[in-house]
Amino acid sequence: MESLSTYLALVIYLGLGTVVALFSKRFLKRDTKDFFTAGGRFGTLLSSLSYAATTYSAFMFIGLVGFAYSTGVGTIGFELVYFVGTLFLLYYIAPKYWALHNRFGYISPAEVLSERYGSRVVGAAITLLALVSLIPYASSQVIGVAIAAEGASGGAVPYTWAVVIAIVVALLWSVIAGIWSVGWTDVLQGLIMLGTGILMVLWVYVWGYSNASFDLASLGSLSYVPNQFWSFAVFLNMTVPWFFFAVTNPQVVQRLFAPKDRKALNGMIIWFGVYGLLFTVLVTLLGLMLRGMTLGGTFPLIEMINRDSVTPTLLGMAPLWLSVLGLVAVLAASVSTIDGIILTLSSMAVRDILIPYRPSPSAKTGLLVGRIVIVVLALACTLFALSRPGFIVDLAVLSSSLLLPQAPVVIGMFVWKRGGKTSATLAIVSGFTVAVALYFLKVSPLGIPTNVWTLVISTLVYVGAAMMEKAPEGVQKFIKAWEGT
Amino acid sequence: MEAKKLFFAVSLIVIFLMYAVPYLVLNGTAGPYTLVFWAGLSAAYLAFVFLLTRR
Repeated sequence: MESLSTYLALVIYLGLGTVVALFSKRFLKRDTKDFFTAGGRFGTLLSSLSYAATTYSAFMFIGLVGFAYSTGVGTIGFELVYFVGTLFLLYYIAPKYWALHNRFGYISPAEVLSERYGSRVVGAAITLLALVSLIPYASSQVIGVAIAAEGASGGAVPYTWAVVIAIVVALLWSVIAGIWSVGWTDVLQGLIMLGTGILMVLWVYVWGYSNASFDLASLGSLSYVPNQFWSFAVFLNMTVPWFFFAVTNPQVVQRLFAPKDRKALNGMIIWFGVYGLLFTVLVTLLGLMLRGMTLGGTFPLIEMINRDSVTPTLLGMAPLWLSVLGLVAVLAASVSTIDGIILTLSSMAVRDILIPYRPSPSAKTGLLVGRIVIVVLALACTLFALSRPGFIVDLAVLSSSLLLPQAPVVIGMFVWKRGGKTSATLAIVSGFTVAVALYFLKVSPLGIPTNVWTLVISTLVYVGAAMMEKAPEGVQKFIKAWEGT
Repeated sequence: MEAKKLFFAVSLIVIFLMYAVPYLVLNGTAGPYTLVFWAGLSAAYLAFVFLLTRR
């Protein structure tokens, strides 16, 4: 790809996105609640595309395409277990989170847990957990952009430059109008991502299969599970944290506060589902089709160890218009996720660490601290990405593994009246300790996958401690808030 | 059956099938079957959620 065209396309994308972000500023009321949650004023379009664009990221365009290419059809199962898990959890929990926000005006997801479990320690623990766990995930987005830019431009856009561009854009679009600029740019980016995904699959089909039909059976063991990679234990280990993603990742939980009414909330769930299913099938099909082309000799063989370079290689071979569009789509996918993550984490830093320990700061102080946290997080992600720490899928799953101990605490809040600060905090600390220990020791005791251990230990600790702990006063007000949802 | 109980029961079955069918029934069958099963079941589940949210 010619570097001039690449830079031109990036300038157009950045310009268009910034215009959209500035346009969205007219909706922003100057208070913290509106900056972070839109004050519950998003319609169906904004809610659903923002949820989808925040969820689906460079992980899909770079990580999942390469993963499908290298490991086969198990990749779509892995991603669709997430999809089914998310629909399942959203149907139950989204109306309850939305009702709580509507009734009590919560801004951060951890704030809800602090209130329910009767201690600011719970919210602070969740916030610290999220701050640590989400840096690898946010960084993997930046890495995705950087390797796509490097591959597609043949090195004309260096890795470091791409990292800086992605971070600066995410920063800019986060601070202009908070959730409003993030939401509106998500709409633009969500449409770019889906449209480009469709065009890439169509082009690969026409280009690679003009003289032959695409036959999955020709991929042999890559067309089924179990195979060399996807043993049942590996599938279970990778899908467990993914299944609970919708309740353990604060950047998507906070999106449940934004819809203006129940109709918009239901619309968000369904349209996110339509988008997610289509996008998942497209990107995994792309990886499988490219593998078929490798067997046919029309696409170079890319080894498992280089799997994140499958999409960049494709962009390097595609015609100029598709290369440019593909690169912009990867950037859009990454930025729409990074800005969501840093916006949510900054709101948690303000609501769950600043305010409990320095009550009643002015609105101006709250926003200032939020913006400082955004910048610090962006710098941390930049440094992490520049160290090129690992594969995109591995980093994403690592983040969700570390966040997994929240699952029993969040679900328990909605289905059980027992439990207080001790049970919630112990569950998070024990689960996090197990997750970190097993990850670094690289062991699976009794042959049971590490993420299953994390979930089981944190759940047992939560239930065991809750049985012995008196629930805090005020649990009833929670239940009343979501009655009838 | 109350909608939420129906949803819970159907969801558990769907989640079980997402794991069981590819690994126990289709187990090693080459071709499009595993992909079509996973995509088809997910689409059917989405349609089910859509119908419940419309009630």
